[in-house]
Amino acid sequence: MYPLRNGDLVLLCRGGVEPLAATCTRLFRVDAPDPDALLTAWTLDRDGDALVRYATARVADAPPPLPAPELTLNLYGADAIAQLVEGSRMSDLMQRQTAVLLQPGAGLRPLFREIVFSRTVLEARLAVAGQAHADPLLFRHLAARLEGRVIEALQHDGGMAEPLAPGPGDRQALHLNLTLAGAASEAFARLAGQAREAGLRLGVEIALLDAFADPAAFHRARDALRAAGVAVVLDGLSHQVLAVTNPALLGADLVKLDWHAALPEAGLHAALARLEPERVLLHQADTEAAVAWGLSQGIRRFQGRHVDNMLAAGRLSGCVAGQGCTLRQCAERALATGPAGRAGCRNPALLDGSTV
Amino acid sequence: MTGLEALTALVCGCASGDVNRRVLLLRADRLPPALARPHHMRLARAALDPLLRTNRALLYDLPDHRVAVSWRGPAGDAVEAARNALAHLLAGAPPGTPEPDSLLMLFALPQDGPALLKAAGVETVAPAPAPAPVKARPLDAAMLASMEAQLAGADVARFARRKPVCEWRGDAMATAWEKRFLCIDELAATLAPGCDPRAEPWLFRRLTRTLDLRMLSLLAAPGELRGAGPFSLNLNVASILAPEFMRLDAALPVALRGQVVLDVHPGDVLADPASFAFARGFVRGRGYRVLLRGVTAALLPLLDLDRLAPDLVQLRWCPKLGQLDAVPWASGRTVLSRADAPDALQWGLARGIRMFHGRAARLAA
Repeated sequence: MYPLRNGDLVLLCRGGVEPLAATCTRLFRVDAPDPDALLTAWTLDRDGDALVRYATARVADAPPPLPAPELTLNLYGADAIAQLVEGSRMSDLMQRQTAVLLQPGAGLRPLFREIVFSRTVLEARLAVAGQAHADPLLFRHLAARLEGRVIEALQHDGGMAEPLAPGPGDRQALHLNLTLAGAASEAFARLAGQAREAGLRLGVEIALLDAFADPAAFHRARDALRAAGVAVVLDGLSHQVLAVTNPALLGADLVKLDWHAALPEAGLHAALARLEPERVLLHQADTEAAVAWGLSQGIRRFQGRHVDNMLAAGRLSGCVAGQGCTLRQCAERALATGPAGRAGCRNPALLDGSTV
Repeated sequence: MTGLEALTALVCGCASGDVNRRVLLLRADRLPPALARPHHMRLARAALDPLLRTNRALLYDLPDHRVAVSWRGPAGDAVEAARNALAHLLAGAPPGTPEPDSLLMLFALPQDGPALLKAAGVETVAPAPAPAPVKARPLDAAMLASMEAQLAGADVARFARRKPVCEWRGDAMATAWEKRFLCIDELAATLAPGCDPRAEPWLFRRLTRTLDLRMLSLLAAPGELRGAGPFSLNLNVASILAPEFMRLDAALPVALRGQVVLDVHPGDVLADPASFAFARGFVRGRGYRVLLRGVTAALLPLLDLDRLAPDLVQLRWCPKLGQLDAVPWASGRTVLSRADAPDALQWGLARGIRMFHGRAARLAA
C-alpha cells in the first residue's frame, strides 16, 4: 500500500480487485454520497502509465493538513475546561429541545423537553482553549463529570427557565441525560422528589453505550427509575449499532434512534419491528426527509431541528407579539435555557408553552 | 503431571466426552492430629487398596495427604471394603473425630466433577485473594495527561505479562496461545500511585488506547518476537488501524503469520461498528483472527454475533452463564474466560467449548 501526498492510498495487488472494491463501496456508503467516485482501478499492463501520471501529479499537491494536535494537550485542556465550566452558569451551557408526537392529520403534540449540554457551546470553549479537535472520549468524560452540576442547577438555578417552579396547566415532562451512576445518585433522587411535588414528570436518558457496558446495572437503574415514576430512555442508537444488536431487550420505555441518510437503505425493517415503532423516537430529525421516512416506518415521535422549526412556525402563526421575529430566531430562543438566549422574545409564555 | 493435574484432566475428559467414572476421595487432611501420624496415614491409604483391583483403576496423590482412586463400572463391594477398613482405623477415636462419610467421599463423573475438584484441593492451590482495595482517587484528566507523558519515555517491558489460553485436546489441556498484555494496575500504581485507573470509564478507555500503541511498539522491536509462539493482544479498534499496528505486522515473523489473535471489546466495537467492520476485514486478510472479548451473560442476548462476525467469541464465566443449557454461538469458536473454578470448566466442556482462560484451565494444562 502506498500513501500519496494528498492522502490517497494506492494498493498494488495481483488478481481481481472487484471483491475489494465492493467491500470498500459498502463501507464508504456510510458516509460518502457517491462511494464509487472514491475508487479507481488501474490494470498495470494496460493503463499503468495513467497511474504513474496520476501519482506524479500528486507530488506537486499540497500536503494534507496536519493531524490533530498532540492528545496530551487536549487532556490538560479538558481539565481546564472542566474547571471553567464548574465555575460558570449552567444555563449558559445547556439547551433544551422539545420532542413531539406527530400524528398525521392531527398536528404536533409536545411530549417532553430534553435538557442537554450544548455540544456547540462546549466545543466553542474547547476551541478557545486550542482544543478544537478534542477527543470524543474526553467530551463524554466531561459531560459525565458535569452531570452533578446539571442536577444541582435544575434544583436551584432560576436561569434554567425555572422548570421546577409551580406552573400553569399541563406542563411538558423534562428529560435529562445521565450516566448510570448519576441516575442512581442521591442528588437525582432528591430532584425526582422535588419534581413529583411540583407535578413535573421526569425522564432519564441513558447512553446506549453505557447500558451495553453494564446491562445488569442498566436493568437495576431502569427498575428503580420506573418505581420512582421516571421514564427511562435509551439514547444514541445509530443505525450501525441497530444492525448488530437487539436493544429492545433492554426494555427501555423509549429508544432514540439517530437519523442518518443511510438509514432508509440499511435494511433494518426487522430490527425496527423488534423495537416496536411506538417505542421509537427518531432523533436528530433535522430534515423533512428524516421525518417523512420516520412516518413511513410507523414512527410517530420526533426530535430535531426540523421539529424545532415546525414548532416555531406554529408559535409564530399564533403570536400576538411576533411581528419582526424570524422563524430561526424563534426556534433558537426556544432552545435556550438561560435568559440571555431568550432575549428579544416579547411573548415568553408562548415560548415556554406546552401547546402549539 | 501432579496428581491434582491428572485428576483435573480426568474430570475434563469425562465432561467433554460424557464418559462415566467413579472416584473415591480420602480426605486424610481431616484426620485429627492424634490420628495423623505417618503409620495412620499408611493405614488410611491402605484402606483404598481394594479399589485398585477394579476396572481401569487409577490412583491420585493430592495435596495435604489427600488420595483419590478412579475406576469404571460398579465396585460396590470394594467401596464397602474401603469404608470398613477406615472405620476400623477410627474405632475408639476421640470424640470430635470427623464421621467416616466426611473422610471417604464418593463421586460420580461427569456430574460431580466440580465438587470432586473442590474437595480434592483445587481451591487450596489457588492464589490468595487480592488484598482489600485501598480507597483510591479516581483518575482525572490531569493525572492521565501526566501518565501519558511518563509513558512516552518509560520502558513498559517490565509491565508486560503473559497468560495462556488453553485448549482441550481430547486427553489433556494444551496451550493454544498466550495472551500478552500490559498490567494496567501495576502500571498505574507506578505512574500514578493511589489512583484508580478504572474509576472514570472514558478516561480509562483513552488510557488503554495509549497502552495499545506502546504494546504494539514493544512487540515490533527487533528480535522481540524471535522464537515466540502464537499470542493474542487486547486492542482498541482505532489501534488496529494505527501505524504502530502496521509496524508490528511488518515485523511479524513468518512462522507467526496466521497465529495471532486480536481481542476487541464490545464497547469499543459498538462505539464505531463501521470502523470495526473495516478493521475486521483488513486484519483477516492479513491472517489475523478477531476475538470479541468480555461477552457476559447479560450482554450475550443483546448482541447479534452472526452479524458482528468475529472469528472467536470470549464468554466471561459467571454463575448466570451456567444457567444456559447451550452455547448460543459456535462452541468450537468460543473461549470461556475466568475459568478459575472447576464448575466453569465442567460447564464449558459439557457444552462443546474447548478453549479456556483461567486458573482451573491452567491447572489442567
